[in-house]
Amino acid sequence: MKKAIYLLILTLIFINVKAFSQQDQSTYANAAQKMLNSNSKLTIGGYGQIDFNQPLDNSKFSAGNLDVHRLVMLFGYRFTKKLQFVTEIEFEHVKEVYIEQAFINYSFNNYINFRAGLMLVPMGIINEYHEPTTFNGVERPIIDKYISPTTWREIGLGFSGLIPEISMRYQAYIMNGFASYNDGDFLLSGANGLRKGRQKGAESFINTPSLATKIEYYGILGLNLGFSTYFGKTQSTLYDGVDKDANIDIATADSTVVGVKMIGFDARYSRKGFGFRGQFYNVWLSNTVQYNSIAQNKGTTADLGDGMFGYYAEISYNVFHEFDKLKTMLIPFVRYSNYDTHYSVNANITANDSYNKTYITTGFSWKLSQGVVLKTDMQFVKSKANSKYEKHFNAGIGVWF
Amino acid sequence: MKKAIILILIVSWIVNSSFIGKEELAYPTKKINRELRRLWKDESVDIDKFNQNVYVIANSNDTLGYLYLGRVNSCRQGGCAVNSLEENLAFEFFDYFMITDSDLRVKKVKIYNYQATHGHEVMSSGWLRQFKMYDGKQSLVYGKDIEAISGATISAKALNEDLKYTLNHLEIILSNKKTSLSKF
Repeated sequence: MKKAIYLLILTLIFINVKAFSQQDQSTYANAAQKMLNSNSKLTIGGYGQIDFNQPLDNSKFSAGNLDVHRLVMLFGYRFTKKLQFVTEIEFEHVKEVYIEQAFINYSFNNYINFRAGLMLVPMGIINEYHEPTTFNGVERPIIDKYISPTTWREIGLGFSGLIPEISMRYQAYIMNGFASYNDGDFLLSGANGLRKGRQKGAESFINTPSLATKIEYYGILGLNLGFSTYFGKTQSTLYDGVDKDANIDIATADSTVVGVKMIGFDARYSRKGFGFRGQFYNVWLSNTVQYNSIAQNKGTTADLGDGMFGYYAEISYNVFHEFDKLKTMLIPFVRYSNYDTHYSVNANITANDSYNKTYITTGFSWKLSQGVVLKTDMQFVKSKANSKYEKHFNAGIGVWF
Repeated sequence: MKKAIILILIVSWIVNSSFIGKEELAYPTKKINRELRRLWKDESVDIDKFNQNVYVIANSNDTLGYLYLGRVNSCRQGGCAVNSLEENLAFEFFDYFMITDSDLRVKKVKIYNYQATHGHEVMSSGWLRQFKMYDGKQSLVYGKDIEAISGATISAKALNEDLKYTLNHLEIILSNKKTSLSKF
């Protein structure tokens, strides 16, 4: 019901915007058609990912999973030459509605743009470039689920721009951070890392902001290198209503806050059909002894580690590259990933080997055009606690327009 | 009082630069002169205007080459202007200049005003170097003859097509000594 109302309001807003431009009174067209035909400042796009996932096990039955994993609509509206608004509305698993982005962008010049609103955190490749036609494999790389918890977006403001003379791009934003404690729930854990702490701009709360930056170098043909950083403390509802001189209560609330430092290095290279991608993340968490301890007292096992890392290396090749007559791209690939949310742990907990996972993904992507891809892959998954690899088969469709 | 003046200045600057309507193609003098010095090291060259987009590069004896300034429309993939036939604000754009030798083969392509929000990698001099010696006679297939740029597909393809179109039409207008053409 809520989603229907939201969509209705959005449509009404667009119709109202339309009212300021000229209308053709003689033809009967629905509101959307009128808007699309005459409003030259509106852009529309979208992407979609439809997946089939099947665990393979010789000894047990296991149902496959068919899912419209994501459908995202992008709307951009250019108010003036320098000011625009961009929003992405995401439908996940058909049932869940989220806003992925909603920000204004003011362009002073090529060097500086000002942005404010709900924005993507500039950490790594996939969080920024996550349309399904831009990566191999049906699902996004696993380290971009548990280490850099994509799609990671928060409300904030900051600057981005290009320095063309040295072929670099930069982004620097002050943004809201992860929630670590929300009304009795401890959101961070060894099992899920920081993922459940994402607030996504949905009635999010903030005690202290975080700083996210990224620089990219693209000067060499075919190569793109990135370096991202993220610093901040997490947010907690336990401060609410506490007197500013109630030291014990403040100390208790402080225990529910974790300090987060994250860096990411990424590299993309493509030349003559050959492709290479690498991504590396390292996360340092502080105050985890207090966090795990207070969680334990309240009946939750948090077992949050002190250090997490994740990386992958991927190679691919477009086997149709040399053939002029073949207009599509057939790209076999192989990716090796490893991540560990218990890479280092404080003295009070033991590192859990099942949080150290290796994924080997291999398959191919068949790009029918720039905006449509059919993908299939096999994944071999093993944690340090297991001796055997589990096998998963995946197939999917990706579109981007 | 001071604060009010500063505020008025800021607001009027923002309003001024937000003026609806496309900015004119600018002649980036410094950047062009720098490239001319690089390409014709010891010579002193003259630039003569042929029309608003095309200039002839010559020394005292010969024509050395040509300079073309152009604008390419682009958009973010996904998210392109729903009505793609009109020149309209929804298009993002970038401006570039191209220097050719006297036989209309590319010596240098440089993008100097990149207004689009995505696809900045197309400005990379490493990527643009691929067009050196291109004369527009054959198509360059994006993704095969020219390296693809993930995330800058629209800008890259648009530039590739614009260069081919421009080189072929430069030949026509220069040989017929026409001073105007529909595109220019």
